[in-house]
Amino acid sequence: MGNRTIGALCLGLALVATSAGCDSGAPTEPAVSPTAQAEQGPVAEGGTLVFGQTSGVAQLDPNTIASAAQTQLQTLLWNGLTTWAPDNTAQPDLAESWQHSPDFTSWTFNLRSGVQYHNGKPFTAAEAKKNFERVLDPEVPAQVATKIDMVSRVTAENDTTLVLELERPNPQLPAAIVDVKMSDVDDIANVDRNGNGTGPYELRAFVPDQTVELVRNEDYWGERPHLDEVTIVRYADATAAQTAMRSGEVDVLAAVAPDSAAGLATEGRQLLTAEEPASYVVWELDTTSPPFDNPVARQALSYAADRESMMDAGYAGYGIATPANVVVNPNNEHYEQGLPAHQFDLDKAKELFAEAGVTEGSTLTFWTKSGSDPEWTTIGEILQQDLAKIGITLDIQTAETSTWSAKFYPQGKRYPGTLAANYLSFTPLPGSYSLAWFADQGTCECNWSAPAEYNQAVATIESSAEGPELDTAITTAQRILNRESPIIVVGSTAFLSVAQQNVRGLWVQAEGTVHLEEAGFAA
Amino acid sequence: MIRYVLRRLGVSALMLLLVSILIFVVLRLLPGDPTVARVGAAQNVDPAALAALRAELGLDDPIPVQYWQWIIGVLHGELGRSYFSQFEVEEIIGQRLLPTFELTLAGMVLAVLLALALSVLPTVLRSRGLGRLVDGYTTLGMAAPPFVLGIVLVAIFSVRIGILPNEGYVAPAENLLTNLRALLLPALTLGIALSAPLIRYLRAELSEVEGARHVRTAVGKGLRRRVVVLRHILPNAMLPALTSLGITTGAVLSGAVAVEYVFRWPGLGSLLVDSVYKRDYAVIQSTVLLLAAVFVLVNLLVDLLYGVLDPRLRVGEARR
Repeated sequence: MGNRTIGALCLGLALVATSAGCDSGAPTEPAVSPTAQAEQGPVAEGGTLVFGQTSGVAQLDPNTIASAAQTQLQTLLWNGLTTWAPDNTAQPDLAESWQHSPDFTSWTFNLRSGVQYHNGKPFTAAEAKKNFERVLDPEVPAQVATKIDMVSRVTAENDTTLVLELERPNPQLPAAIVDVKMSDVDDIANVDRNGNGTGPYELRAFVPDQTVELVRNEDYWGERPHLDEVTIVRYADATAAQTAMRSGEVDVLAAVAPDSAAGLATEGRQLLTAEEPASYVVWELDTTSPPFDNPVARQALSYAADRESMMDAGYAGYGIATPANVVVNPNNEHYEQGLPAHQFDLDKAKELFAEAGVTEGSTLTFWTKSGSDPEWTTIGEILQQDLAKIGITLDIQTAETSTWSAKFYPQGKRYPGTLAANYLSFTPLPGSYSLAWFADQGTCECNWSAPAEYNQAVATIESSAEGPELDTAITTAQRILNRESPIIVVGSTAFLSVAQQNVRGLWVQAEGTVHLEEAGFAA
Repeated sequence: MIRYVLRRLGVSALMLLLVSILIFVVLRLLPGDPTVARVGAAQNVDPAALAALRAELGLDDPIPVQYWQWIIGVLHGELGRSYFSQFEVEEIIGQRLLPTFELTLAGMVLAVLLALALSVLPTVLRSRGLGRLVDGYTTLGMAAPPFVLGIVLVAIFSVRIGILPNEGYVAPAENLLTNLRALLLPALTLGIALSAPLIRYLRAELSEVEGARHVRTAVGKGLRRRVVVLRHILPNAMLPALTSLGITTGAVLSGAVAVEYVFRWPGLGSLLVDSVYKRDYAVIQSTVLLLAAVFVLVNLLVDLLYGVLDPRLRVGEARR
């Protein structure tokens, strides 16, 4: 974790709509940082850190995650062969090093020796093999499987050498396997009772949807964790969570509502978010049903979206509008700067809608959640008002999460004339996943039939190392997404978290997960 | 009496069977898919993996087959496994029983104490003003949903005055004092909500019994007002109130669901809410069945107790 200066951070943080942290002229707006080290100084050994969330942890299998709330545990109880560094690169974790064949179809990982699971069982390449094979099992609903589906063979050559052979090249494999976490597969039936990873903390108690209590792993192979204990607590709602934060009951609060963030990050509390967010506020559309089976209708909708106002109103300025309509953060080095912007233009939207058969008097449906993500409704209301100006009715409908997802998830559902509000998180480019999701082998609920050129571009991105060929393919894919608009990308943002003044050593991953493995309290 | 008990047991078993069928069918009519919830509606799960998960959970079987497998398991004391965690349903319910038991017991005790105090005082003091105040209290208690009461109490005692915690639970074995402090607000919320209908019932009974001949005789003897109310009016008014208490059990259980959620109280209520959101049928159907069984059992006990306390019922039963 680099000790960047606040000034340097501000340059990197496009999230900060007002550069409050750097500009003393706006003292009411707290600075946003990707790391909790606003005040440098020694970190104390010991203590219990309470981490608050408003979503519960339902189960503990690290390779079949049930909710975003669970991701907080991924680096506390478990390790992968690789792990994310704050700059979005894959770093050694249980693998000390790796080599690949010139064509990127064979990878050899050299594992640490002397590592053991929390139950004392040694972690070896054979154990790693079991975990990879479990993730690749088509009957196991492992989200990470789609990132490593090119792995055709896993071989444990000896206790510390694991070889992954691929059916197609993947230069990004170390990043792709970050989320394959190592747990004792032979005892996976008890993972909710013992966690059984190799991570810096081990499980003491778990009550689903309520609390997860962790204690320091005294036999940890890496640097000794600072904290004695970490407790992850679920609060009934945002009000209860924020009350707990203000009373000092909670040390870190995750996924704070954007409109509450500034008010909560007072009295020295630290406001945290990712340095380069890789999450997107989107409206998914069924591209196989009218009217959105016509790309002109999708473009019309994109022009009808007042992204700036939506991000300001819904996300309190903690986000950036994405008028290019692609799932690439405008600050990413691979972002194509020359994409035509779908700037808010109701006249153009009206014209394009009419061309696509969506005339005055038509009704579209905005499908969003009740009881959570109220900012989605806020941006829906802005769209509703704007569409009304051109004679189109937007019917905003809310449903609790399970009903909401049932309408359009998984891929293959029909939901004509509906904008399904959603929030998507991807690994930033050059990781291929954000673009591969739209391809024919991807799982986009938009049901888009990608043109051959797009599929070819994604295949190239997946199999090319850094260089002109990769850059060209990324540009091509973005241009096609910009033109075809299979979904509407309103803006890029990331979850905001708030930490008490004395918390040190946190950092925030691209999609908003707060890393606690090196956390501690100021001495 | 034995025939009466047997008949009541039979009716209770039939009611539970109907509840089990109803909850089972209604759950499966809800939109939403447990397997989608299980993977967090993540944007990178292969639909084939979801299909495999459905098959593994038995959700592909026809509903009658699913029901049969579940109910046979229930009769053998095996409630199945949560769709989400690896805990058996009975284990999950076991984790939540004590907090719910604590809350409902404390809520009931507070409700009875409040009901007795607020019913008897206006009668003893013959105070119309106090009576109106109590009527206002009951109107408010019956009109405001428990979760609204809870939020108001939190706003006053946790946020404004700051003397009581607004949420959280510590097991009594771990720290009894902290446990009781955390229990106070949720129990008070439940107690107020439950006391309101009890007070209404009790006040109506008190005014009815007050006109009875034996009461007029007691007054005529020159007994003090307090003695007349406590010795001659209240015991006779309490008997019908028992029935009300039995019916109130349903309100206790449904009230506890909302109260637990507001106060992050890890009982059966919050378990039920979370499970409904996740469509964890295995947990929902067994929890609802358990709550229904408690409701039926309490009402059965109240009816039997009524029979014990009121000899006329036993005589009537014997004459049949």
